[in-house]
Amino acid sequence: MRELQEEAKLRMPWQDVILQTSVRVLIPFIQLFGLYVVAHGHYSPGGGFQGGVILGAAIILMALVFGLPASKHYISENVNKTLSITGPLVYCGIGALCVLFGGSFLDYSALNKILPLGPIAWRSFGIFLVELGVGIGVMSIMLRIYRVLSSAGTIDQGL
Amino acid sequence: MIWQLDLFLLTLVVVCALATITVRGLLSATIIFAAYSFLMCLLWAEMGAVDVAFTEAVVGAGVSTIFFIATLFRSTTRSRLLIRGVDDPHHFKDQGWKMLPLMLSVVTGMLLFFGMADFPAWGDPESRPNTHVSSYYIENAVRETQVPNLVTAVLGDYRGYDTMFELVVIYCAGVSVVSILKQENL
Repeated sequence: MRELQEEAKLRMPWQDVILQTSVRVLIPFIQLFGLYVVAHGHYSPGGGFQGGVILGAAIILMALVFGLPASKHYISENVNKTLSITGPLVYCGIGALCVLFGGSFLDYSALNKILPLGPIAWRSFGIFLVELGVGIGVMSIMLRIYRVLSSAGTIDQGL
Repeated sequence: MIWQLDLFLLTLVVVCALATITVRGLLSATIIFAAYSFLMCLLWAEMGAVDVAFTEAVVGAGVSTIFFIATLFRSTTRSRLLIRGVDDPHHFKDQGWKMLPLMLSVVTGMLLFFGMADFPAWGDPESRPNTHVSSYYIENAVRETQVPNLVTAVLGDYRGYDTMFELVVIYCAGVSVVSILKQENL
């Protein structure tokens, strides 16, 4: 492990062509699958949490192969910070919106007054919106934990 | 439930768990722990809890392994207790203290096995949870929420508070990791 750590310091991340090319091909598919898992949670196993972790893992993979600065170029630390609070806020905000429109907290059928789709359709759609919030939040929090852990708190140079 | 498959998987789970706590290198322990998570994922899938299996595969075998390895890269990779070994004069003095947790865990384990006898059989339709709320969800969830996947309906709608505070807990975990480790103003 000590040798691995030494080697990682010397390693030029842009040198490994095979790894980089294969990961460059893989990442869009991983992200597409993550989005599918978030959106298709109504009909198949999955949902916001699992999909969010997959989306976060795609960017962690990017940070592993292309280096932490490349992943910061993709999602900067400030954007990530904002996203990580956006997730819980979307969830709580939808709950509060239900209260504003006369239902109880997280009773999505109250949102029918915004757009009359029918209370049952709104319950289904409300679950989707909430799962979206979970997905965004989990993705950015996983990425943030990885960045802080792998760079020992500096978020400039990863593994 | 196929009992041969269950027996095989559970044996492997026990082997992996024992290997994780006895192996010397922490990197090896991490990899064996990932294998343990994956075997647990297979067990959940075999029991029909596909959503739990998915989460276990993604979080237990996937991301948490990366987190462990990232942490190991920034620290020592051998357990200090194991390095000390027999040559250390403190070794034998510690043995007495090691016996106490061992006895405690054996006694607790035996109590848990004793309590397990009162559990309802797996998938018993007459058990308390299956007659109380499960039947309501199974009968009404699709009609009330138009979500065919009952797990999503329960998590997102009937148990919305739980999921919301789970997300808040994850956020707090992220914030605490950042606030413990951050070097400058992030």
